[in-house]
Amino acid sequence: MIEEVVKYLAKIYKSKEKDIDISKFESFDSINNKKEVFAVDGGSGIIFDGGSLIVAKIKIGVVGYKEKNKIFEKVDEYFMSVIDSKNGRIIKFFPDINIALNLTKKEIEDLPNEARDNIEKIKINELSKKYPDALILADGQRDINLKNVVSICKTSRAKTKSGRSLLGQLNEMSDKKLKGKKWFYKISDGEYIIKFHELSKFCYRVLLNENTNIKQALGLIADYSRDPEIIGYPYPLLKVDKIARLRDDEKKFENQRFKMFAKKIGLKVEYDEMSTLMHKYMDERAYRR
Amino acid sequence: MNVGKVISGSVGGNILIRLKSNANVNVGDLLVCEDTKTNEKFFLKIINMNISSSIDQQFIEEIAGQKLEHDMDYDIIDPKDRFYKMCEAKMLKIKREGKFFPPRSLPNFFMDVRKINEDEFDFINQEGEIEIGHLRLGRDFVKGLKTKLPAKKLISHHMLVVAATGKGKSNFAKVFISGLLKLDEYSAIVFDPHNEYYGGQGVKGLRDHPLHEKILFFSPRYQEIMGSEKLGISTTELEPEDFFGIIDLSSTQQEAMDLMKRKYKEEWIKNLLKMDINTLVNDFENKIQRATLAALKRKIYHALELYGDSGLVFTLEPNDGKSIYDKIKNAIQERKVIIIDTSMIGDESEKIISSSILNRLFQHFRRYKQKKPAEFANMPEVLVVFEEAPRVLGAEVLSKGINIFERIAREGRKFKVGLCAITQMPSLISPEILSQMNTKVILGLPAPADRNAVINSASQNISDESVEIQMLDKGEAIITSPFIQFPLPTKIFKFEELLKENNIKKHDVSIAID
Repeated sequence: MIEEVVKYLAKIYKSKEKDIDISKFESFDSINNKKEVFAVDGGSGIIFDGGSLIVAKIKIGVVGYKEKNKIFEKVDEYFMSVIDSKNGRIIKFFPDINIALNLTKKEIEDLPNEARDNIEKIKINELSKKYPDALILADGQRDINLKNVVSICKTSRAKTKSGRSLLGQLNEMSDKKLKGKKWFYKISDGEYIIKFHELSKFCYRVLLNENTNIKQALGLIADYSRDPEIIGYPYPLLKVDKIARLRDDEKKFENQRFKMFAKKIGLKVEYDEMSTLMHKYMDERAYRR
Repeated sequence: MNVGKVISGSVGGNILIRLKSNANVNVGDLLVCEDTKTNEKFFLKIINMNISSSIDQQFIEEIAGQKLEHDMDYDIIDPKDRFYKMCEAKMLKIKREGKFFPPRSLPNFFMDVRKINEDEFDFINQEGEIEIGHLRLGRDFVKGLKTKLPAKKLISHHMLVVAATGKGKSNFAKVFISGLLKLDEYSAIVFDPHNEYYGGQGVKGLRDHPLHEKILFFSPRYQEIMGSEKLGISTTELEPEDFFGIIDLSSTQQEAMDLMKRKYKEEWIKNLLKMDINTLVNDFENKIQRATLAALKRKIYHALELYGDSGLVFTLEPNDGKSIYDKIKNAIQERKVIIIDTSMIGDESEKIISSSILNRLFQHFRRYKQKKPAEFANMPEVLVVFEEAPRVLGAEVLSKGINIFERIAREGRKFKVGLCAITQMPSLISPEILSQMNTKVILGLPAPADRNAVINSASQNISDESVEIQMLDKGEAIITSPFIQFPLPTKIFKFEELLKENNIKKHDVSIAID
């Protein structure tokens, strides 16, 4: 049956419909300058799920480099509680932070991600103002339009007319036409597909302000994309991802701490937690995870 | 300056330390970890180092491959954060409220680790009279801190000096004997197969020591070396047991030798070699087979290196003066160091010389202990230095019969006689004898079999030091003994420099002639 699927999808790969203009590929060189480069990323996760109430942890990391040397590294941590009661939804942050969330449409478990996204934007704005000459890299942020901010989306569902992945098709074409080169391809004003290192297997969707000097900005990012841990991906973003990520063991640890403090003051929170645990429990029992 | 931080460890195992990128440390270095939470100070010794990374090994291999195969243009950012060195350290002591304790607890996570300061060596509470070198820290050594060995305990409990060729075995023995000379309680006999202890021909030796009058030197070249004594032994002084376990003899041959000694007394060897076989057979009324006598004649003649009636050392004629054995006994009583030059003598002959001397010495001490205990109490302890020890203490040799060396190894302690066995192949020595050698001076053993033999027979756990033992450079040693608190890393003094430091008078130009 799987062969049938492949045969069915083959038509989109063989489509004659052209919506990629080869002349729009441009190569560029990396630029080594003294400009500061910052990267911002966040991580979030639910550390206690009591069905109608959740507690989440949010981490926002910032790293800064100048001439490839780290000049700044910081992680801010927030806790967030969301209570869905019959009287409505109540959200509180610890420490308090002023962000507006769409409380009506979101599923309760989507809220920590939205909150993280908002806090990231606040950090990016602060950095942009504080360091107007620096380049600030954001991870997958789509609606920031500041001159010194470049947003890099690791994944994309952008598509061609025939229905193929736009990144996939460009990557394949560049392998034929621009092998051994760094390149960018303009999609629209401020929206590009870019390969930051000639040996990288990946290209990324990049969003930047239309007034930004594209070759200058991309050249500097390419210079920071030569680290072999993930060649072709800006190292500051890799670093900030590492420090801001909320790992499973950290979630477990925070869950234990939360329950320990709850027990100390006589709260029986584990009964509520059991209302959401059965899937996990079955997985562990049935598959020895 | 901090060199690293504690990241894991166990009391029974070792402490794992992540090293700072610019930390200049080596295996063998001593470190200190001051635990600010418990106010304990941990004294540590680096036993191994490795490079490590927060990145998966497979990925690192890929990076290296990309560079090697495709000359990938890369640029490692944050190298100090991601690629670093780690070291394993052994806990030696803990200082708590001003007192030292065995390491039974652990430092906390992320405690700073630094190199030891010169004023912190009080944790090595050394008791000893003989200075043999400087305390060594990896490749460096601490000039102010000398390694001392307690002679009294060490000698009668035997010593083993092991090292590959050229690592400084004889140098150590000379340094140790220099220390003995300064003390008035000890004597030593050195069997010197390479003529490197006494000195001469531009080579510094014990004769250049300021206390050289306490040295008695026996050599077959006595006429050429001023102040030396004749190394000459009459066969009338030899006993059958001097040959047992030394040369290859069957039990029938050993019985025959005993019978001959009983019948012919001092003349037993002379008669064996001189009389024709028929006469001997008749003399013993056919109790000794013709073939046995023929084999004995051949073996003893060759072993004694006789050319006619006499050889370089042995002679069939009686002594024309005082016996060498008596001279040695007197010298021991006077706390002298006796050096016997066997450099021109074959292996079997050398072993017979040493065996006969040690048999007399052992009997002498035993007799005194049994019959004159008060005088025995005043007798010095004697250290017997024997190079290439597997020749007499090898498992294969001892499987053919007991010899005096084995006896001393087993019983010498009771009679104040200790062995200093020197070898580059300790794996050839019987494990039981190796474990009798309580003090071990290890000067670098690259061969795993030899290293394991020493580690397995040591009185302290030195398995952690295996890497260090393998890498020891010339003159660098690890000394393990039940009489020191933990294995001491030491840079042995150079004998020549020791002489200079002691302001040794320059000896007259050597008059030795080859």
